Amino acid sequence: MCSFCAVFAGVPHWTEIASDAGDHEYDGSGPAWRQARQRRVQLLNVVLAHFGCRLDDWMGGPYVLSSQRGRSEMIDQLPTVWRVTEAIAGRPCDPLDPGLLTALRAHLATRAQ
Amino acid sequence: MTAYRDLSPVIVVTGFLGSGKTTLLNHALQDPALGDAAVLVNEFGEVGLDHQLLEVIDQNMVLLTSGCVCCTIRDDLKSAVLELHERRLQGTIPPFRRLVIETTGLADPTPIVATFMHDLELRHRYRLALVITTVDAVNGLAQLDTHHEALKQAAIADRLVLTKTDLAAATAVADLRTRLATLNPAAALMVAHGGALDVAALLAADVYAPAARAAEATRWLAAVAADDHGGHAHTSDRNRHSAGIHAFCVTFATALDWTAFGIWLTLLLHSHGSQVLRVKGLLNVRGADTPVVINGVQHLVHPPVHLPAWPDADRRSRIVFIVQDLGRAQIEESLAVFNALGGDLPPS
Repeated sequence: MCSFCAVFAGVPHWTEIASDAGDHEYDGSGPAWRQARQRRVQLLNVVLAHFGCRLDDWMGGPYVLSSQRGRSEMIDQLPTVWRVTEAIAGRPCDPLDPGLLTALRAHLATRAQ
Repeated sequence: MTAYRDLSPVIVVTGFLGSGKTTLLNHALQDPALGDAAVLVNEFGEVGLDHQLLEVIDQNMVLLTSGCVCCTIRDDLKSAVLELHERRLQGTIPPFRRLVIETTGLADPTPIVATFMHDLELRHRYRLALVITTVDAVNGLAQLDTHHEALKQAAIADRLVLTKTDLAAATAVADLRTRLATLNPAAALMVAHGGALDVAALLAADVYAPAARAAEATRWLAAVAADDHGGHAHTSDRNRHSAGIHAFCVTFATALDWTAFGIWLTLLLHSHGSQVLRVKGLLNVRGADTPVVINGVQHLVHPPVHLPAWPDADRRSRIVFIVQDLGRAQIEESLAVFNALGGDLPPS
């Protein structure tokens, strides 16, 4: 699936296929799937905080990405999160950006205390 | 939903102009291993293909809104494939079980990959099995130096097939082998003699075929490990010739958090997808007893494959990257930080 273009409803993104599933079994409704989705949102919010954004799970359907200024957008799949966050934050989302990595390390250090 | 392994496999045969794609196909299609294949070609070349299920596709492309080259949907390809599918259902053509697509010599094959991974109608019927790239032993080195398409075709291949080795000097063949092993160590290198080669071995690169997946994953990881140990000569060579394209294997002793890994890789591909030509990995995922195989071409990632057992005693996650102008240390550091975030949260 393309990180830029993954907008097709009803098709699981590869990140939503459980790592312990059999051959691409996709359970889009069970408790394990919901729990994994909730955890994904938690982790994403640690990263998105660096860009002044947060993500909420909208009843197991789409996600809602919101900015601190009150702008919000519905999002279907994970890759779209990054495109919309960039548009809202006005700067690139890059996992190799030293500034982002420093912020994430600071988060980890705070949690360890 | 149809299991991924049960979808009709698609084999893409690419290679620069005159590199012997059609000759290779003509031979391979006579082999019983490919007796059940339908073939789509971009154009009729000088060498005619002799096959009962042969169709020609035009060159209409539809670019998705991102404008990314690897996300270009080949509308003509989709139409041709669906028409073949209809005719198969109607029984007007033999019931082919796999599809072979021969690209033009100047084509970047990623739009073909994108078409099969994006299009909903195709995704429910077909899966990309492997990319085979032919490289001409006489002109291959020069083409890799001067044509980005040739470099791209070789970098994203699952199998590299050397052709015309009988016409090239032994030293030229050896240099080309070294160059290809540096550029794409995860792809097995085979030699075709007059188009002839072991077709079963050629097809074994399909990591989604249940019988082949463990052996194939082990093979490309071993190849990269060997290349990594090759040392400094490779480093200087790749910098001089390959326009910043190089391959490396990132190894993690700590189990990876699947959620954190997904977040990290989608973000990496979002921001650097055009520079990440291939990602192939065998992951030790926290909470899973056996490894998960991941396989991506630029922005496109196949669904993960769960292997029934570890292929060897090594329990580390090993991820092969073929990248352009990206540093290994940057990628290792970034993934480690994101993975630590996952360790910071209780597992789901």
